Amino acid sequence: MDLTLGSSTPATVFDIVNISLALAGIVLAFIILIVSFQLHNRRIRMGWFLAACCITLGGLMFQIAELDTGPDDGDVYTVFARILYALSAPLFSLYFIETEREEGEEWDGKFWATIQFLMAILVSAFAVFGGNPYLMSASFLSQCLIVLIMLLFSSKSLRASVGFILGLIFPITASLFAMADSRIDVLGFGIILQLLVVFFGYQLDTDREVLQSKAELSEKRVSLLMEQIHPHFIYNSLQQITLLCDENAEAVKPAILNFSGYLRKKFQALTGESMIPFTEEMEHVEMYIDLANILPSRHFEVEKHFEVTDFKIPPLTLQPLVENAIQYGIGMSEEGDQIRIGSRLNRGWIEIYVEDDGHGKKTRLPSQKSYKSVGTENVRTRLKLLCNGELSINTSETGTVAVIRIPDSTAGSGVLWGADRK
Amino acid sequence: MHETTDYNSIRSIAYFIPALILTMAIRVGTSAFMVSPGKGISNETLFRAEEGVPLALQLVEYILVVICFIFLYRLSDVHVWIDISNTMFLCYMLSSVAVRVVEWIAFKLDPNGVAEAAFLVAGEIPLIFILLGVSFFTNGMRDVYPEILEKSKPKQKACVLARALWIIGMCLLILAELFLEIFILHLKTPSTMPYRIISFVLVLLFILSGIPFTLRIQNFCYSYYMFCYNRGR
Repeated sequence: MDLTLGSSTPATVFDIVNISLALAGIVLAFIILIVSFQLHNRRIRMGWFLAACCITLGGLMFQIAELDTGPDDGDVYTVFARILYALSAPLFSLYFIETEREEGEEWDGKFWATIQFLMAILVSAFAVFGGNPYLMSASFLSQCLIVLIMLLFSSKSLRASVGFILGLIFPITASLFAMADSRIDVLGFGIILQLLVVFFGYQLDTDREVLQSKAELSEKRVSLLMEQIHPHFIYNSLQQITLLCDENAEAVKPAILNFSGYLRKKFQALTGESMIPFTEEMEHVEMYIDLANILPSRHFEVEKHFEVTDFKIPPLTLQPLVENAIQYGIGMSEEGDQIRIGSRLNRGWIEIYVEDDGHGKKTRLPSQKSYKSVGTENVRTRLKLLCNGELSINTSETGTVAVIRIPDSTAGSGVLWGADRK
Repeated sequence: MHETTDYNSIRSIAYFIPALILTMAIRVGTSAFMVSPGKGISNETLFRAEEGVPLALQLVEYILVVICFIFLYRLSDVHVWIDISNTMFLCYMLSSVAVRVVEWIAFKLDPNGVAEAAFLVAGEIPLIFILLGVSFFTNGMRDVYPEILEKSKPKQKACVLARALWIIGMCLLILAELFLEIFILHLKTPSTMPYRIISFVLVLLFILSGIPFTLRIQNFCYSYYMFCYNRGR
């Protein structure tokens, strides 16, 4: 293959190295650009990073264009490439400033950004009007040194600053090479290597943030657990079981089993993320009802009427509704002692209802404001997220009706709606 | 619409996109002027038509594309068309570099220029990406704020329509230029040189006639900004 460059200049080792590294730089820049553009989390700092990549890629483009032109035109392309390389430094500085800036903090990188942009303008003017390769490389080196000073003075974390400085070694080395021998022109490749190191750093940052958010999620789940298991209910249950030891020793064992079963189901439901069979949720409900029956609250009866049970439901969605019916429906009223739980098919939806004939609207004081219960809102949210379901609660003077509606398709009952409606 | 929309980007991009289109227009116009019949047509003239001022404008154009790309990146969550427009701008940069590299490799392998026709096609691809990018952006903006269109006067609606037609027409004209260059110019190079000049001049006229619409786009985007500002967002 003839490696003649330009019009008639024979290729030297330097030319081959320049071409090879420029092409390698273009390939690397393509990969970095495409991969980083695919990231879903589009932050401001990623925008600056992409801009630095694009600008450097443009520089490499002009560097390649220089190779198939005559010596006079080649100079113009070199100047253009140098201008673009000079612009990459302020963009990198903006990326660094955004990385260091805390969430919600006022932007405090004006000083460094201004210095870098002024330097870029100066270097560009120098490239256009000066044209001396040695001085052009020296001015780019001074830009890199300013970035280095910025990293040393402004970086808040040692790990991040080490990463950035490690990346900065490449453009500094490239400009030193160019100063040593003007025939070596690998500045673009050096900047791309720097950006590659920075991109790895970004990925590590993101991984760390993901781990952190997972830990936060676990903490939130624990707090939800604490919120769901009411301490006073546990206290009352244990006290009542203690009393049972004197009054009816035989009833203690089933009561303890119920209590431990209730707690186990509660934990399972709160730590699990997928839907569970309806019968499993009903086991939890029954344990709660048995436990509630030993407490010194009002006597109540539970009536069950299920048309369909072979479907799935998000965990801990029915039990809180039954708990509400017992505690607030009939527990706070002199009237009513019936709770009805059932399920039915209704035109493509599976409906699960919990009805009580308790106080409803009767005992609500005029001054009492209606508020959204945290537990009910939690049920509503999880229904929506896990199976696109709904929850409606109607309170009237004759009691309260809570209805969970789940699309038959997501509940996986396998019963065609209307098939049993004939 | 995304809650954390960067309205400064919307306001800024309204200036940078017309600046980009204007730069492109001047670049193509300068090239066309350099190959005008009065100056004598030769391969050297044609080659020079792509050097000098047009080359400098190519640098400015590239920088403007990167600036627009950053703003679009910031706005890409707003609407799917703006996201696509952002991708088009990225495609412009990638294709520009790819064209340069392939052109360089081909000239090394084939110095006689037999494969030149292929590069004439490839050379127009980045330009088409830009036109599509601008078109998708304005389309996205129009969708995001339908209330502006509802409240605007019929004349403004006509301008939006004219803008869309202008960009589609410009794409078609570039394609026409491609066909002229590939099937006529390269088959009968010496005798059909005027076709190339005609196509250049047509593109120039078309772009110049589009400037008022480009300014309309700027006003349109600024109206969005003011509208949102007045609503306290």
